[in-house]
Amino acid sequence: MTIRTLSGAALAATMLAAVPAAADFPDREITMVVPFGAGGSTDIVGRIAAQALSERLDVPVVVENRGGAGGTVGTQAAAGMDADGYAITVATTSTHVVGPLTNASVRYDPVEDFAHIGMIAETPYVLVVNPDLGVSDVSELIAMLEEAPGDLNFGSAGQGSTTHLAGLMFLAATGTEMEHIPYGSNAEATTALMGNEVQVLFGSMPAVLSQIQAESIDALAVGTVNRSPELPDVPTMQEAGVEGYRASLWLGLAAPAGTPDDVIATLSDALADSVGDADVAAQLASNGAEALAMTPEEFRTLISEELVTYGDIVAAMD
Amino acid sequence: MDLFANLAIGFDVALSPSAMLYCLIGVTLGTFIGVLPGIGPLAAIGVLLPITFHAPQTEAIIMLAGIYYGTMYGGSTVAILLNLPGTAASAVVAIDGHQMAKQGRAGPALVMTTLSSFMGGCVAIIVVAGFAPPLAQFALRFQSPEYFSLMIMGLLAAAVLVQGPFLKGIAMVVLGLLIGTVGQETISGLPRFTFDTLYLYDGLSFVVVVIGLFGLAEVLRNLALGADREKVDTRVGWRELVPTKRDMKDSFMPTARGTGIGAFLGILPGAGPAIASFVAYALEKRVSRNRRNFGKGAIEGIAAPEGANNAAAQTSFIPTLSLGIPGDAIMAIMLGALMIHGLTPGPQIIQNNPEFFWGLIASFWIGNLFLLLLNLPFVGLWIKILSIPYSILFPAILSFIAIGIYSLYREPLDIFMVTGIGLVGYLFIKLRCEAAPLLLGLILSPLLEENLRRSMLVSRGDPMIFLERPISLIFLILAVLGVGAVLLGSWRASRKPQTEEGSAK
Amino acid sequence: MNSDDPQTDLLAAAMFVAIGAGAIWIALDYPLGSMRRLGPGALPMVLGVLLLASGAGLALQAILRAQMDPQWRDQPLLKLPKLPSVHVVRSTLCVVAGLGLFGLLVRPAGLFLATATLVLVSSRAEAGTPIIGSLALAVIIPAACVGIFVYGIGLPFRVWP
Repeated sequence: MTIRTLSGAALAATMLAAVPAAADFPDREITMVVPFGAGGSTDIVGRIAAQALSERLDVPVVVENRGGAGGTVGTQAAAGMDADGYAITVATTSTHVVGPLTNASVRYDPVEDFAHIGMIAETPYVLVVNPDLGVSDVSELIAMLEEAPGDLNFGSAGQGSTTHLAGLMFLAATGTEMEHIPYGSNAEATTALMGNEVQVLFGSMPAVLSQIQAESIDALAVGTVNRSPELPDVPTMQEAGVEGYRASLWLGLAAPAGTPDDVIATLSDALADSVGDADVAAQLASNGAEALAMTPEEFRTLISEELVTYGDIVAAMD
Repeated sequence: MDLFANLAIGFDVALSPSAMLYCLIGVTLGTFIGVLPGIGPLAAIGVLLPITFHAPQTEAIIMLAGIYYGTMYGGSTVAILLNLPGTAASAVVAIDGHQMAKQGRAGPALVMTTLSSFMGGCVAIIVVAGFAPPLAQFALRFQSPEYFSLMIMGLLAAAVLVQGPFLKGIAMVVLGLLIGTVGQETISGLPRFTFDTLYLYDGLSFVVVVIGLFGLAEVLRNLALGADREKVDTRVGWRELVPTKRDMKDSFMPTARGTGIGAFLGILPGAGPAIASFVAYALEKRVSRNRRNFGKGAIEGIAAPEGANNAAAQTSFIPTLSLGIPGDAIMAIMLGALMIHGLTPGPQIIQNNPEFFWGLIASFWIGNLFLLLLNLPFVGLWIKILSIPYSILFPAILSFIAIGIYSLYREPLDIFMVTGIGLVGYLFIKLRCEAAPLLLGLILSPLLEENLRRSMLVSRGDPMIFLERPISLIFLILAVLGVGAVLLGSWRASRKPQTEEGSAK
Repeated sequence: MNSDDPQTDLLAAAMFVAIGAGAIWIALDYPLGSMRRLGPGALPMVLGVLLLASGAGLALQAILRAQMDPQWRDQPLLKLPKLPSVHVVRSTLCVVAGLGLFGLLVRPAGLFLATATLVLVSSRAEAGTPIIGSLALAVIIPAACVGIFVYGIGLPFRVWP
């Protein structure tokens, strides 16, 4: 019977995937909320982590994309999910620092409402431009912006997203003007740059790297303190003459507050093991992200600190 | 042209015994899960995705493509047999498909879905193999204003799709767009139409709306009819299971036109694949000699959208793979699967992994062929479902709906919501308001709003941007022409109300 | 082409007008923004107006059609829909109650009992079904569902309380 073959095949596959671990947790699939659209940088890194975790925990880790409002919609939903360890979310600079600072409708506390698990990776922001713009370095771009203030558009992965903020920081640091056009994801913003709807983008490395390599967009500078190993020829913002500019994005994992400590420990160990794995690090690197491990405590402290530093930047902008 | 060289690489991979086996397993599993009411292709792929983790890289993706096809076909099957569509595209197919099933012609309807799909696939594969890189470049010329105008055209096409007054179709499309605005707005984060309930913050789930408006409403309607329920003649011989010569002849051109529309719209991420079926159906309804039968069981009404849907499904791999932008939620899952299997989508994927890329494309064709071959034995099986007495069938359908909906987010409120929407759907049936246009509005609503707002930002507040850009202008002209043709048609019809039905011959 | 009777169209028009007006009323609270920067209220407002307008147009069309067409001219334009029969009320209530109970029970009581309740209650929608038939279905269908969804596809549901 066909029905029986179906059940048999599916059953066998599920059994393969679900060999019970020593502890009770996890004994079924884990849902990982990615609070951004599929195909964007957060999504790519989240999926690499999901696959690595799935191998280590012996259960499927299913990614659920819930984009919107700079990642705060999905994070809001994740904060309200069952605190049993079967619901985790990707926590980033955007969802746990910038979003809560810039978006008045965020109703979660990035520190108190989550049980932080650990860090996955850090990615630089890259200042990229459409080749038709005809600028080859940052000073030429600044000169062009000063000549015609407000004529150019810069894209972002959404209102209040870190890519938006990275752009605002650049405008503040250089005293220039551009019109901001928000998109739904880094991938969409990158396509808009290639189609010349926006001329400038402060793109996350994973979303723009393959297009830079294909020379369909030009990289002018990276926002990190050091040059990126993926783009050794591209100067940092400091080197390009924009003093005090620093923008990078970290990505970690968090669960809703109240998730039992031993469950968090299981997840945290599996995550640290994943991030330390050379294959995983290579996968992250090929997507422009550098693997970075942190304990739950370190991660929590980092969020608290950045809330203060970014808070100052946001306050100074208004 | 490298077309043949490319296809040769692809078929070399896809015709290996292991690839074919995985493809066959994928197609079969996909079909059986896809026919479960309440489990749309999206959920089915999500459920089956982990199974592919245990296969080698290329085989896994090929199996996934098989699952994709299988679930789409399974979805069309249940849409036709029980009027239980799980996607907007299958809602279009169900319009005439379910009517055919009621007339005892489920067999030809089901066979035609595979035939049209196959033909759509055959043409689209040539498009993909021959023109993927230039098409990806062409798609870049579609920016916010072009997408906005394209969606306006698609929405008007959906409005035309209905029986009865055009304004009713417009109202249903607008209602769908309005429902699509429910939830937290993406730019300001403002909650809209949520009535202060947390449940509505994420908006209404598409599957909940489809299942409620179609599946549940259909059950309520059938039960209300009671003894007056249409008897379906299920004692059909093998001869009546397959389309007649005339069916084939009638379907050929609609399939070809649908395929062309689908192949083109598929390359436009997001809006394109969603509107392909609607535009194809609307066009047939204008140009077909048999247009009077549309909505009453016209086989053209199945052939065109199925051809379009399948062609779009294939060409939508062009942006997914070459730009890394998923065309819809299903493509997003496929994209995720690619990355899980260590393949990074992007402009270099065709150069760096040619055997993978072309193997995948070729396996689509193989998957379609399997569907075609598996179809005949399956059709006999599916028809049997119709011979189950309704008093036994409907509690089973309700159970599948309830479990399917609950499996989405494990949220009991979704069950109450689907029940409420089912009652609304029943009201729509009573008021003769067709729900298919509403679905397209619901899907496109966020895209329409985003692209409108972006266009206005880019133009610094000048709405002329939609007329000044040539591609955008073309879509708007097409939209106006389409509406004009419909209004003219209904004006003519109202001029001579006494004309008999059969005058079109 | 216009096979619907004007009375039905008029009722549908009334529904669209009501929803459109409601949407406009609610959307008044949302910022409209400017032409350059459309606010979150812009699209809902436009859609509300469009819905109201198309509803009004539909009503006008229905009234005109009723005036012109001898078939409808002598009938009252506003015909309240017939009250639903006992059978319709019964079947609808059974389905709604069955699904409602499923929603209430599925978390505390597990998949099997929730489905069994749904089948038992909803199958009473058909007056002709004997109680024993409902009971039999309430065992067979949940068992099949558990077999397919939990053991077949592997959805992680709790089957029992």
